Amino acid sequence: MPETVVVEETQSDTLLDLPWNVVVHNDPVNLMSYVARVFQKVFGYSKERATRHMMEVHQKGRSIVWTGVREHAEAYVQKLHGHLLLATLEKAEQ
Amino acid sequence: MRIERIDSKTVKLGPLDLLYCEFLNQIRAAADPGDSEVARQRLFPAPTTGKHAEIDRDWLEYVEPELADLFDSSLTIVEKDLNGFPPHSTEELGYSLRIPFSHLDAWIHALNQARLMLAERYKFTDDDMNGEIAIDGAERSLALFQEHFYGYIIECFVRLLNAEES
Repeated sequence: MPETVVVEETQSDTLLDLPWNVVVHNDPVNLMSYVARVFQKVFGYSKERATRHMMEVHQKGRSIVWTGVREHAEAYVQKLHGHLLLATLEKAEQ
Repeated sequence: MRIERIDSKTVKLGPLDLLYCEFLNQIRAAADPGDSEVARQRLFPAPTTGKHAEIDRDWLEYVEPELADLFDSSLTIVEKDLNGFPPHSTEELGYSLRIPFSHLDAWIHALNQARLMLAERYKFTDDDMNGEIAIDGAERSLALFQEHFYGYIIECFVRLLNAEES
């Protein structure tokens, strides 16, 4: 019978891991209205904040749309990929 | 062609001529990345683009299959809505398609995937996307028209959903 290994995440691990950025990159295909809608849906942002991030993506090529612990950041990137947005995960600069 | 919500549960597209009907029936084929690795990478981008190999490896193993299922489920909903469309009998002013309002998110997703894959397949540039479509009879130009057609439908559906939620 295989031995079960339980790996506990300690508070210090989590703290050391902070923070991670969720970055959305521009692409010429996704419509602006669609991108703003996805930001509202995924992050619960207001229309104004979602539009601000969308415009930043459009004009600057990328926008940091969320920052926080890695586990949550990964979940957000997965959701964004699920909406076919170009999203990446990167460690925030200290 | 008009896209309108005709009641609380239904959205109607029409009248649609045969070219538009054909475009709708090509959504799944257009959305298929085929054997293009570049297209596949666009559907399933690595979350850290190689900077954190372990995360990217785990993503490939655990997340990609979930995303693939999600993408396929949207395309399947669209296919079912298009089952038997267009009907054999020609309507006087073209064909009309009725789809459930609750399916709009799936349609948006499927159409968006089709647009992305068309863009990869035909290497559409920013100028292509924002400029006029050349009337030159080329397959690439028709594909750009198809891509714009899908974009138009997405925009209308997004507006209908936003209106519902506001």
